[in-house]
Amino acid sequence: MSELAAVTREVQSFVAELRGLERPIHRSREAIGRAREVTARQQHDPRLRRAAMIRQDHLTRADRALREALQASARSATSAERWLAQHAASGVAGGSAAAQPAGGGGGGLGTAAPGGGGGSAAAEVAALLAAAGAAIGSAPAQLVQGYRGYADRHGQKVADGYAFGAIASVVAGGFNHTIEHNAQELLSAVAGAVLPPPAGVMAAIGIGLLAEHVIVRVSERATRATDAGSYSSFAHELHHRAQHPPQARWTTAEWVAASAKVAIPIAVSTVLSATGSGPLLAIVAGAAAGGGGWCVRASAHKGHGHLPRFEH
Amino acid sequence: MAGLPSTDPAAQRVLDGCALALRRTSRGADALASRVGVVLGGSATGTDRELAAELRRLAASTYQAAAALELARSR
Repeated sequence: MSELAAVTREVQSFVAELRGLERPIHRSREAIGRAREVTARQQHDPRLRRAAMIRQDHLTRADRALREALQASARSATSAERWLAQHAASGVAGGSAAAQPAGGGGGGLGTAAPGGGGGSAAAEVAALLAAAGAAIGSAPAQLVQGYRGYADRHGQKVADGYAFGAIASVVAGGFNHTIEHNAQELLSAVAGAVLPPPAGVMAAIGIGLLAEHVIVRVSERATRATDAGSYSSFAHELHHRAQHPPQARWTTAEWVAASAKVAIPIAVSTVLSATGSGPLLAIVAGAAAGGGGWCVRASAHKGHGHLPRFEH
Repeated sequence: MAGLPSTDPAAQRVLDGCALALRRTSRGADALASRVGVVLGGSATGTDRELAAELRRLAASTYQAAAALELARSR
């Protein structure tokens, strides 16, 4: 067995050990939680107050340290799994490492280097499939790890701003039905920019959801009530929609353009807000980005007029 | 300063066991990080270096957690 293969075994064994560490940490945190409740009560007793405060501080620090150890453990496990997947792809973990020089597997996927003559094409394919499966399986953990790493480097608020901005973009991308969502986009951008990052972006998402169910319905009813289909292109579009309930079939280009139109202003305002550029700049930049998105969308609708059209 | 009533013995055992496991993990992570660094040497890839760095962070984090636990259970 080569040195690298031996290390691979050690890493595998260590990952198993890390999984076994989670339970005692959780149980300790529960015990600490109970102890904190007791010491919180003891702080009401004048004779015990000072000792209880010190104890409470120790318990709080221990709980925080355990939480951080748990996070470090998860990051290490993810990193180790990725490392194992990379070396599995190079044939080391599959028992064919006899002729594998130290570090020789650094080529990663697609550069399988079977050692000892044991590496058939089928074994290579199996190793590649195993590596691909491991990579897909660890994707959520990698996302979490990336988020935590970013939070470590740039601060929790900024990381939250980006994370929720990404969620907002995805969620908002599903609402691109009619032009009345321009109002929703502006409100979303303002909310995302004015409020602090997590709350602001959550508000942006919430407004997006509300817009779907409130703004559209109200405007449709108003249009029907006044029969204002010919008053303006906007009202005409609403009237048209009221007469023809959505059986929308958009082309891919329309979906992409419409998603960009909604996602860009929210993302821009969120990022600027999260990085502390100030609400005004965030709103202006978000609105400008929205204008750019509108142009992109309009070009996708070339030949269909300036309003979004459905194929009925 | 008046003394606090002693902690629940069962909780003490839980904390003791966890501190022990954390110390063991800390030593293991440190040793494994060194092994990865030595074996891969100059040909280490980004993934290799990332694993070694994460293991060292884990070693430090679990060491601190064990110390904090021991302090918390000392009364």
